[in-house]
Amino acid sequence: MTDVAQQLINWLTLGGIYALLALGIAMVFSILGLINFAHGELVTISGYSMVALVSLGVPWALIIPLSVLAAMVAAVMMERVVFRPLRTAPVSALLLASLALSIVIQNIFLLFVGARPKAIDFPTWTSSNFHLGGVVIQWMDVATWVVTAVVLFGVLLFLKHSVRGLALRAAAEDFQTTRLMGIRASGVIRGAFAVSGLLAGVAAFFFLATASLVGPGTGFIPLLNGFIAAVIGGLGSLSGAVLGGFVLAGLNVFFQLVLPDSLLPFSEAIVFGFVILVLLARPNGLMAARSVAVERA
Amino acid sequence: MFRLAARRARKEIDPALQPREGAILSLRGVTAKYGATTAIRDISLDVMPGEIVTILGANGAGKTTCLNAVMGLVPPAQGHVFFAGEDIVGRSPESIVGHGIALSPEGRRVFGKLTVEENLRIGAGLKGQSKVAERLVEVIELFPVLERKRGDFAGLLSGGEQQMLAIGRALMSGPRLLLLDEPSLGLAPIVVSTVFELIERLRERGITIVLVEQNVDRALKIANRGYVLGTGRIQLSGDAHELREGSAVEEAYLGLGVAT
Repeated sequence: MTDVAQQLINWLTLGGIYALLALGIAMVFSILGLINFAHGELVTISGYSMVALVSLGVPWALIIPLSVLAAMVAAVMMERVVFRPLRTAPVSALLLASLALSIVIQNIFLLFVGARPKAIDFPTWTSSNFHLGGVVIQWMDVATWVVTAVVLFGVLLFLKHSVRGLALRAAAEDFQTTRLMGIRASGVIRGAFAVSGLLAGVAAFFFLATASLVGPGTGFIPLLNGFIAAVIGGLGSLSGAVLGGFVLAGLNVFFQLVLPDSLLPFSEAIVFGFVILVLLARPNGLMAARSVAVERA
Repeated sequence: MFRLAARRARKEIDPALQPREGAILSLRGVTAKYGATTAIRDISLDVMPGEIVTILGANGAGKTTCLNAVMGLVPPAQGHVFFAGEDIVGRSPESIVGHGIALSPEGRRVFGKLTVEENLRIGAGLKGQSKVAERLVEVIELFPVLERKRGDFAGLLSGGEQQMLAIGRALMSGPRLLLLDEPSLGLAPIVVSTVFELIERLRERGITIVLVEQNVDRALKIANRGYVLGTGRIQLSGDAHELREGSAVEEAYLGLGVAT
């Protein structure tokens, strides 16, 4: 019984992180039809900025917002420097550019910071826990749930009730017609990248806290899981991305629980194999968005 | 000094490239292409304030391209588009909307996953939000049918309701010039009548309208003047009344081997 409760806790935590990552990826995809393969590097950038800020003696109360801001700025810069000049190019060119960008950023860190992962000196509360009816709960788990809920709900409110959110939803549905409303294309795209950076930055804190390490290749796992979660949910569907995050985390935790020890090293392969089955049954994901792709001027 | 005089002289010599005095919209020698295909060639037309001007023609004649060239969606390869005397070629669609032109696109293009009210709100753009409440009242007064459906998803509306929503959404930016691309497309005849009555009422409110239509008779009935397009060129133009009376429109269509 307590075992199940423990796994539920793991599921909620992992699901929250995946949901944040998937929503960020889906956000950009819904507007540009681009899967940003450099999304994982936003987590890396957030991580290295934590390392730098800790070494400067900045308190964590400031490091957290600043590391999120770093990811947001990086996301907006990616758009400005790499994707905007390619706006009239085919989507496949954008896709390749994002892959190239990911490799370039990894190599910049490799060159200037080094291949060895850096330790992030997280505050002690992140590894403390408390007991609740025989179940051990990390304070970090609670923080993940609360912050994930607040951020997801906040983004939802922003999309639902603010004018800029309305513009983002309109642009996700029909980009060219949105421009006919006098709404600047570059503003909407920049907004989507800023939100995606915010989500990556928040996810980075919780993702990195488990290993307390950041290296040039750190971004790969968050990218992979966020991308697959977004695909499960139906690329382009924002609520689907959140759902996909929790489904993917559920599969992870479930197979960790039921697989015999001898098969545990293959759990990821089994999880992703199961994802293939899901997609065979529902090729457009759980909450199929319309056949997306922006009409490009 | 000399250069100034020369420029003035050139202006006098080439009236073909000047906007018509007092016109709200003047196209001068506009050519627009999609890739290597020329969609419209050397189009010149004028729209005076308070008019309904209709652009007629068969499928593929270049009617929609004319509107898209005005909006900057298809930047003209040659020629000038003057709005209230100012050349707007090269501006982005967003800034052209800001100048006071709105387009209700072909096929309505309402945001199906947004509610009726959200569609109208977004029509005012980001900068027009201070005037949203006021304009919502005006638009709903014009299209009372939208009031009941305010909270419904636009994708669930009937074709006629979607058309009214698309026009209402275009009006939310407070345009001086409204471009309507085939508002009667795919609508039942009785709904077409309602839409055309509404277009006349918009003119009464002082909005200048360019109406692209395939429904020749209906369009000429409410328009002041008309242009007939064929294979990307203006084949015929004139007073709407005269165009209706004579057989020239029919001949212009027939001359191109296209049945009305």
